[in-house]
Amino acid sequence: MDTRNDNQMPVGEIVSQGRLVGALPDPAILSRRRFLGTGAALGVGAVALVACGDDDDGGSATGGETTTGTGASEPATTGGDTGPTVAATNPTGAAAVTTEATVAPQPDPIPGGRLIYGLEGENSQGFNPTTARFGLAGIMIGRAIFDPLMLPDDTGKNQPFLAESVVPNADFTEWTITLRPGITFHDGSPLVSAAIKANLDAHLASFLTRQALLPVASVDIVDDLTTSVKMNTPWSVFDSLLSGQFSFVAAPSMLADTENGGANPVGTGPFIFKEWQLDSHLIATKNPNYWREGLPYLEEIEFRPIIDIATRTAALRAGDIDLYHTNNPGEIVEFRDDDNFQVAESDAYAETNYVMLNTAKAPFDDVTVRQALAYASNVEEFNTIRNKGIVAASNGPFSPGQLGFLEDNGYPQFDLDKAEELLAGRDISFTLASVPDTFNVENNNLLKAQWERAGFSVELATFEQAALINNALVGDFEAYYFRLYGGLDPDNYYHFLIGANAGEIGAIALNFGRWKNAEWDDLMTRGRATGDRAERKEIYEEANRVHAREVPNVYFFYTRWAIIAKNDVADLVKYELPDGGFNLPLEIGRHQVSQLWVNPDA
Amino acid sequence: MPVPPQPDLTADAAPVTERELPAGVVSDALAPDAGSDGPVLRRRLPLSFWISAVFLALVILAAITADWLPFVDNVEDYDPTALAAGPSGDHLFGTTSNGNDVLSIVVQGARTSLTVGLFAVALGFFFGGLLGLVAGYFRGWFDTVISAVIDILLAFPALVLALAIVSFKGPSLTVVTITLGILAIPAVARVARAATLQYASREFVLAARTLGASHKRVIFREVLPNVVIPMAAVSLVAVAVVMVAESGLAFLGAGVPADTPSWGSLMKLGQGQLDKGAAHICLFPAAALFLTVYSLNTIGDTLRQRFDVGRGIL
Amino acid sequence: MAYFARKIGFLLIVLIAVTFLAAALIRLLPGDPATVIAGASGATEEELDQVRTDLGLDDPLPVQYVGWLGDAVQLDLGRSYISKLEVRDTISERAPVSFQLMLYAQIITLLIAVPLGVFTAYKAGTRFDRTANGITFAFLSLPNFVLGFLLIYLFAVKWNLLPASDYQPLSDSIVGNLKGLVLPALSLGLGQVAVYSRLLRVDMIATLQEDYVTMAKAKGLPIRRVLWRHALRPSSLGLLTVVGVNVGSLIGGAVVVEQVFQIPGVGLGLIGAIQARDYIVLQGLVAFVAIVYVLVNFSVDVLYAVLDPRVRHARASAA
Repeated sequence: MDTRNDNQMPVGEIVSQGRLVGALPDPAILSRRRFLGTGAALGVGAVALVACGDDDDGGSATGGETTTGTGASEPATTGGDTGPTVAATNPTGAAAVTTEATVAPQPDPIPGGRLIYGLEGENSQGFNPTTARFGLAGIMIGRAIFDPLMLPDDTGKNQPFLAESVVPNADFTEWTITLRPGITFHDGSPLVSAAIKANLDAHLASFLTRQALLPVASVDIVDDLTTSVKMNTPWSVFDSLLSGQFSFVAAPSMLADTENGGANPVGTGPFIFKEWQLDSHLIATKNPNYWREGLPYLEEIEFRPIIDIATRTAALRAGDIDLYHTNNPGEIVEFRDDDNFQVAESDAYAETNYVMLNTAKAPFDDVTVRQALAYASNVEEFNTIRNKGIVAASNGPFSPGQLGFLEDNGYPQFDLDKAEELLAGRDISFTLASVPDTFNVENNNLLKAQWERAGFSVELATFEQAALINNALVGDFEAYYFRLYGGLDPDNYYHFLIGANAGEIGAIALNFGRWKNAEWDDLMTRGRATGDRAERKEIYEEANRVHAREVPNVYFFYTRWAIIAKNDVADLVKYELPDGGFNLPLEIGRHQVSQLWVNPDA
Repeated sequence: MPVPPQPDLTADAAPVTERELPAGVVSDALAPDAGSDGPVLRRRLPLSFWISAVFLALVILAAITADWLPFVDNVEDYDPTALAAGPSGDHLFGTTSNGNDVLSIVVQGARTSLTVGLFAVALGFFFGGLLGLVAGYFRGWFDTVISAVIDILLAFPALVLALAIVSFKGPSLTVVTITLGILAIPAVARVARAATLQYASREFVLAARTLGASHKRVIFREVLPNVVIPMAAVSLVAVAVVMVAESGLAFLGAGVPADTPSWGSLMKLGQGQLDKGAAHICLFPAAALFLTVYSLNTIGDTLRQRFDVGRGIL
Repeated sequence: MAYFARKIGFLLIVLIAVTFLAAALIRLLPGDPATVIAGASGATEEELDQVRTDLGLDDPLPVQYVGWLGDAVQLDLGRSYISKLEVRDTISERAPVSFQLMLYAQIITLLIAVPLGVFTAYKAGTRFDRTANGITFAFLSLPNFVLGFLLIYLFAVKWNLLPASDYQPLSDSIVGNLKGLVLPALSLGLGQVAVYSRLLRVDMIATLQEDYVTMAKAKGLPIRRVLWRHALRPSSLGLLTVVGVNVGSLIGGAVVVEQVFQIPGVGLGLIGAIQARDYIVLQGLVAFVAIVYVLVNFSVDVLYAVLDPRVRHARASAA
């Protein structure tokens, strides 16, 4: 079990609670959700499919153009031309989704009130974004107290948020971050470029976050509001990282207080930190001087970690909490049919659930064994039984919406005969392990049953998280049930999958599965150097095919995140960006809270 | 010398041994208008004893023969057409959310639960009993040291010990059994020590010593037989406690491995489904555990009354 | 008072032994705070070593332990490696939570178990005795997490009488505190009813055969008076001991219930510290649990002597 939710690492991540995944929501179900009426909510489904079906959409935009943030976003509500495209590429009804999006006016928000937000885990390392690992729970709290530099619009492109603009030079060796004027931190100090430098420098010095910012050479102050970030190699997608943990701008005073800063976060965000009791609650109150006029609506918000899934559900039904987030398909299905609650769902850019194979030792150093395992995996049955059929099967690390995603990348589809043929009578035995929570254990039980039908001998084991990570780091495993973090861009998990980070067994390596492939490395490295979207798309699609052919891991599904709320929680996911357009709701499960308000008439 | 609380000894200053009073006699004697029958010393064992014994025998038989029983599926078998389905003709106890047959898991889980229960208790009683016996018999510094160790172990959070051992050695049936056995040692040692103190100063023991019998002989021939009887009755209840404890470990993720069926992990699996129309997943193993525990307790009670073991030992 | 001096000496020995044992045990586990904090995020071997150096984990265990002990006697228990919160604050936050939960659970258990024990002793062997036995054993054999969730389902979801998960400090609201802890306390306490009532029953049965009880009865005293006035007190020693032992185990061992109801108590802290390899938090919490255990059992010893003169004499002659 897992008392605190440390398992959501910025990039490589262990599946610990119920993790699910999914494709497009069933339109019939969606249409019943009141929140969907606002249009923005639908970006989720629509966006996910637009990117894979439409070669030209946004493809011509250069890095500079895509990130200046003046009207580049195109809300799904007006995306008449994307609808048909989506429908054509995916029969699950995305077109219906987009249509649905255009209706249902919402009443004007009423300020005041208080909401209690249930979280699936505790962010037990505290809230210093440069030294603490932020789980999804941490990202949510972070977005309430800090502001990110950028936020994705509903096409999945990061748009300036706290920054006024984030612009690269022509060859992507230098990025310029310009801040909005007149913003202050909760401690009264002004938001200036020195704060950006302090944050980025802290990241570059942090063993926790440094690796993801490896191309960054230096951070220099240009003037009060302008910061220059110089790269040692061209990096065209630096901005794609700027809506997650790296983007939270903490007050320099908080960063300087290495002892108490993490437990007393200070940002520029819509809510001011009030108190935090580990394993119990975090309370934040309205920031009266918030730079976004009128926001937030709530007087106060309380976050409560509730780890036990059954209790979390009961707490919502009993009214102890007003809303919570989850990726457990059982809960999502349960509340979809309940008129007393609203459900917002998304699998946009989501994490892939997979079984990570150790390719540096037997039996999975042999590609035919890996392929046989993939052929032996009945993914459809797995998703029906384990995920109530509400998730989409995954075929690699690229998730729908991301560059490089392909419906058919050549990844082995379930075929017992082929599996047996590839095994050729060999007696292959190995151990499949995971963290010991019920959801994972049941996943593994089913996988064992499936694989043994093809002739594998499978032992099951569980390790608590610290032991599991430790084993993964030094390569002391055969197969682990894992979850790879999603991201707006495939480059976001570059360092977790390239050969340079695949060490010997026994030595620490970030590429846990230790898969090395020169072709893949070359493609992934080229992908981060060019800003041409069409070219990058081609590069990552090729990388996807290489990955699918080599089967370094066996893939199952994309995580599907949901926010489940009482009906009086209004504007559940509709969040307008400062320069117009709407935020992509629930990308990788991330949720905005400053737009929430309590509607007494609901 | 540290003086740990010693319920059994100190409270038992007035010996209440060497009586064989069947259940009911005491209250009969006390009841306002009872007592005309007088105590019946050799009453037959009550029916509840036999029902319990037969049920336990069935559970043990099921545990041993689970692999050959026609109605018991393999662990790997599942029915994708019946997910979290209630009891039916095909699946008498219904199925789990993965489509596994609950009856099969309950039958196979009996093996795990009984193994854990019986062997952990055997382990705890062997080592705990030995420590208590030696401490209670020799007294002196030996007793002081052992009592101190017992107290240290009791003051150490059992949970930390259990989680540490299981995460260190990896969760297997053997490790879980040994862990729960180790947790039982200090409590058992304390009971054994108290019982030994009670007998070590009795005339027959002193007589044996005076006649020149060795310590070893006195301990094993004179003291042990008298200590074993109360311990045996207590051990049956301990089996029950350990079997419930196994489910607690399962809940914390430190139970037996995922592919070993156990009542504890089945209840953990079913806990979240209690209000989802699939309460059977949790309730059948809970019932099996209850009936087993209750049967053990009934048998333990009956034996305790037979031999009048008594006070403060549970 | 040589007796008290001995007790305090013993307390110190237990404390040192228990905390050292905890320190040694958790270091046996795979992974360490450095890998938990930084392991999966791209830290190099050198950086992990640096983290270890920063946390003082380079030194051999005895050196680390003595350093910790030196600080601890000055009430400086250090800071969590993970959350950076002061361990002292963690204990002072969690201790009252666990203490209240323990107290409510014990009260509930005793309120049910004492009358039940007395009456089942009086009615030993009757159908009432057997039924009570069956019901209490049903609760004993129902794991905490099952019973806890059944209570949540009935009281919180179905009847909406009590919260499923809502711990409020006593200082915020007495009613809120009680409401939030009733179900967890019931989940902890109901199972123990079997233990307490059976224990009391056995002792009561023995006491009821003693001469002075028979005499009291012969004098024509009402049976209720005999039971409650004459028999209960001398029969309660065994129960008292077990209640005392349970104080310790409920303070640190209620982790399953704390998790089911999301109560930020000591148990949840212990398990979190083990999982995150937060050595320093574990040592602090274990020390706290051990102090409670030893002090409570010391008090039980004293109470024993008060309740039963025979013990006083026995102790005097033993000492």
